[in-house]
Amino acid sequence: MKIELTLNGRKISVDILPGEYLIETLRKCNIHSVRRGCDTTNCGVCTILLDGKPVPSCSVLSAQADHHQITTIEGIAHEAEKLSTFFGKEGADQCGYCNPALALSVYALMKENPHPTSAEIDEYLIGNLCRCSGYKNQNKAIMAFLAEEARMEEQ
Amino acid sequence: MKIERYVKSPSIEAAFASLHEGTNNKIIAGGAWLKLTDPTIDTAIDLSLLNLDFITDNGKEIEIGAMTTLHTLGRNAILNKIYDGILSRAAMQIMGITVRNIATIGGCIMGKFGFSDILTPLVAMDALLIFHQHDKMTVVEFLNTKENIRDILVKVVIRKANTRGYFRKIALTHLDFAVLNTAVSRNGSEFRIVFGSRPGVSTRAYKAENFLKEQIKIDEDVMNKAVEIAAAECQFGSNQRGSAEYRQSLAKVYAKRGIKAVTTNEN
Repeated sequence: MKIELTLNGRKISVDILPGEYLIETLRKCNIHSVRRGCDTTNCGVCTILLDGKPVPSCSVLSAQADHHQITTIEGIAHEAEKLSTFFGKEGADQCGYCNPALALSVYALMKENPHPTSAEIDEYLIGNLCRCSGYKNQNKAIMAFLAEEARMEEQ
Repeated sequence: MKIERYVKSPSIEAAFASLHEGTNNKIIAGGAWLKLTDPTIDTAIDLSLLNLDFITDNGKEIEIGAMTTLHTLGRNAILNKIYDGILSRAAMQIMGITVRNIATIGGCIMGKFGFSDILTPLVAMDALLIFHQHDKMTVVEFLNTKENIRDILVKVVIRKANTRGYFRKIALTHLDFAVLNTAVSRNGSEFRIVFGSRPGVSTRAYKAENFLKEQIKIDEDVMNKAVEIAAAECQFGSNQRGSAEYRQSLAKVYAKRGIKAVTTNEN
């Protein structure tokens, strides 16, 4: 079957199988930043934005996304690059496997709640597992990034 | 996962007709737990075009559309108030936001999942299920019926009243299924004591509820007696998350905390 997606702002048409998941379809579209992890919605490394909301691409059927907007890290490259500098400063980054998903979740959080508390950041990112850097430094980096974004907004 | 055909139904009537065209046709709801269920589906029926994603308050009742996501339940201001917000609280403790953005209240109910944290507060709230064709029934009636209801859940109705509620999920982390979840509610002298993830589907402690109803005063002794009755009348099982004995012990502790919470201001 054929579906239409708006992938990172670009309208595309893709042939899919009825039981195909978005993570597989995105690979067909040459999007390799979306990682495959647990494949059971637990780890969060396959997170993408569906109409701006973070969802696990391993568990959303591609057919469900027909005529919807998909955003991957390529679609928020500017924001992700800025966030990565804060991750670097705080030592919140090691292997990078979970980073695209984490950046997308932070982006969604920023849109939903531009001024979150540290506890709200932790709560929002519960589903984004990281097995090397730990979460404390990520939280500090995200707090600093969002404070900088708010400062830029005010100027 | 093998799906032969996928349809986005344009109407409830069309979805109902698709469901009855074959015995292996399934409503997929949000699809969050699809991988845990039957891996082969002839026709997957998508309800996303039917405008079943809503929460409305008509003054007497709250109506929740079957396709409302768990994250929407968790963030809703009305649901955060009624029964001391137990439905919202339960929803927000389910995994991470990505799963809550796809899992729907209808999918959680129709799946009759033993691990569900949503069914337990819904039973405690006497929530009513409205189907496309089948007669309406309470959540607990639906969970207990042996009838294979092949229908489309349209909405869930919760009556507004001067009610209190308590909910606790006992799990190692947010990403784990609960070892046990407990909900207690009170509407005047009527109590509901509900245990879920036992690991079986949510169940009411009827004898304990009746015992509490007969009491003039709910003191420490009465609470102790009520939770003994509740833990004895409900069945608990063992799995990798906990033994039946452990669950039974937890049930007494959390049911007592729940009764205390809904009879005082401790919550």
